[in-house]
Amino acid sequence: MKICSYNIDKKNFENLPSGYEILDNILEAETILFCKKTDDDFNNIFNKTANNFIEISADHLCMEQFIDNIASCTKDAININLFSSTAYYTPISHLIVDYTFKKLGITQNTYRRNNIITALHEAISNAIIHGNLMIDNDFNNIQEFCEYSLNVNKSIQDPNLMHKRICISCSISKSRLSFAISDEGKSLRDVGNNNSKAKFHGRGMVIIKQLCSDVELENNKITLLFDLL
Amino acid sequence: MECKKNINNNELDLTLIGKFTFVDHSIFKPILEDIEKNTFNNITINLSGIEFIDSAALGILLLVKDSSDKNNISLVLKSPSGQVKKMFEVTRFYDLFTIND
Repeated sequence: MKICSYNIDKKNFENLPSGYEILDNILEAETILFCKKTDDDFNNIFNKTANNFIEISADHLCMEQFIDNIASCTKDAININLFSSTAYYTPISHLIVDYTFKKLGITQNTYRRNNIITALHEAISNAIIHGNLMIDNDFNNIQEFCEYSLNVNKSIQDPNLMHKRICISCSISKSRLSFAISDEGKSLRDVGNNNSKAKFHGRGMVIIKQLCSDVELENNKITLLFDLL
Repeated sequence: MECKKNINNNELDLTLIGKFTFVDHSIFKPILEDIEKNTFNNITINLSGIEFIDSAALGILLLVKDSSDKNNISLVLKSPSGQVKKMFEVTRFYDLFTIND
């Protein structure tokens, strides 16, 4: 698998935005993480698991740089491959949609852009939580929700799970934009027709189907299709 | 997401700012535990600062509602807009919640 191999060279990061730093003990890393000193989530997660595969990450200030480092582009397609932990801690769907629009020359109004971001976000969060972290969010009360919350926090810091990858392929063909999202988990379940008002979860696929022109499910891959106006 | 909490005479006002998504479960865990203890009469959640919401966050709001109903607590969602409003429409939240636009 490609991407996220970034030869470490501190000279490359002389122009880090103010407040950013290169984390310690990653001199042997094949990839490098830089983050804000004040970002406890990032620091906690990665300090605990610092090893030879530290993801490139950042916040909104240098997201274009972030995406540029993890994406491989052709004329009409973009491939992005990243750790579950990176996808979890970054607004990756916003980044990918804006990056894709820019690279592929797509113009959509705010309403349609938001729909695409929302559907992509739901697919990616499913891939992280249900696919790679293997967590069912079948909580039905607050106590179960708290257990779920603890389980997610624990799993996203588990090196065996956080380094499972999410692959996102974006392409455009005949006025149709597609995003294929795959994970390293089990096969996807189609729960798109379940629209019970009483449930606390399970709406992700319903939302995806409402916002996309078409949806294709195949093993652990979901493809979202959008007709471009 | 940033969550500003203000408690005044058994009234809980939450002002949420930013993106409210599946990563924010930790923020709501203590709030849900407080609601479960039935320490409030009214809860208002101001969503005017929320620019993006996902299905997991909607699930959290449903949990708040469920617990509020069980404890006879009044719950109002306030000022959803843009993508948040669209998500409320898609998931029929307007049928389930008291929402003040």
